Amino acid sequence: MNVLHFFVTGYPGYRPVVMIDGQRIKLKKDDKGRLSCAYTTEAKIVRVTVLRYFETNAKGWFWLGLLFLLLGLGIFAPSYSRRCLAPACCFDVWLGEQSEVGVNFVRAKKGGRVVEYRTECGVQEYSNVYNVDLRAKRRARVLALMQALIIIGVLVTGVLLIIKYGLGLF
Amino acid sequence: MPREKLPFGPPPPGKDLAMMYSGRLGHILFSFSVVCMVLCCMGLASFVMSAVLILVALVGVLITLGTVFSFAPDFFTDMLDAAGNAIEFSQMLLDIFPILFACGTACAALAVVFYALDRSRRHIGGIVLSSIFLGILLILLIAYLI
Repeated sequence: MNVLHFFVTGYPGYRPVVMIDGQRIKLKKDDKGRLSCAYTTEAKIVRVTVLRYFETNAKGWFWLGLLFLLLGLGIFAPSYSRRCLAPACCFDVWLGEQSEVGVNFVRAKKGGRVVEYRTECGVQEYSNVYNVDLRAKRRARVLALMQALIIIGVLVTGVLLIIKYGLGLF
Repeated sequence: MPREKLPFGPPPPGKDLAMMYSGRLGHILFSFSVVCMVLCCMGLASFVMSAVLILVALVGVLITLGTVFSFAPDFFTDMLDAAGNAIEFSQMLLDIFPILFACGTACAALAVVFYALDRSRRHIGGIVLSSIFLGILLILLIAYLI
């Protein structure tokens, strides 16, 4: 059995999802303060994939987004990020009996590298770049427009209410 | 191993989605707690607000060496009226202080919980600030009761 000690350092602005051989792994803080896990496998080569999930790629994204915008009256609801940088990161690692593989996440920027490797094992990189998730970006734009409309609606309603009822002061 | 198509833009699983929306809800509640806290402060600082307005009027007169009266003859009266309005507004806020306090405390406490539930992003700042707001609200309650 081969044991892969996998650890993650750096914070790209979101919590990335790491998959080993298509299986999502749970990372926990170790005594060195980095996120890590131990993965046991019989395979000599494992494939590591890094993902990022966007709320706007979910089913019912529009209605859920609208609900939360209305809850926050538009003004108090956090806006959706329109950068939508998705990591396209996939690499193979050749394992020994005990292997330590680490990745350091670099600050996310379009076309930039996702991770830097910290390992002495052999690594075959297939992809390691930030792309823009166009679908998520388009949907985030729609929600930003909805937010602007809700803010205008709330402001107009507020002004109308003040004009009609006042605050008992003016 | 053949090059596979990367999983690009997959929909988040239910658990991740719940976490993301938990963080979003936490942010909304955090903003509401800030508003409630500010209104509580304004209610308690009623006399300070009116005093500041009168002070601003006096400073305005001094800085312009009284020439402000040439183009706004009722300047001081208007400012005094504004101070009166500010006192009335603050009185209204004081009347609803218990409601504002309850809403603010509940929102700040829930914001901490919802922020903590969201593990898709870091919310250390939000959690710390919400906890600070809880402390400030408690101090304001003591000031109100005294």
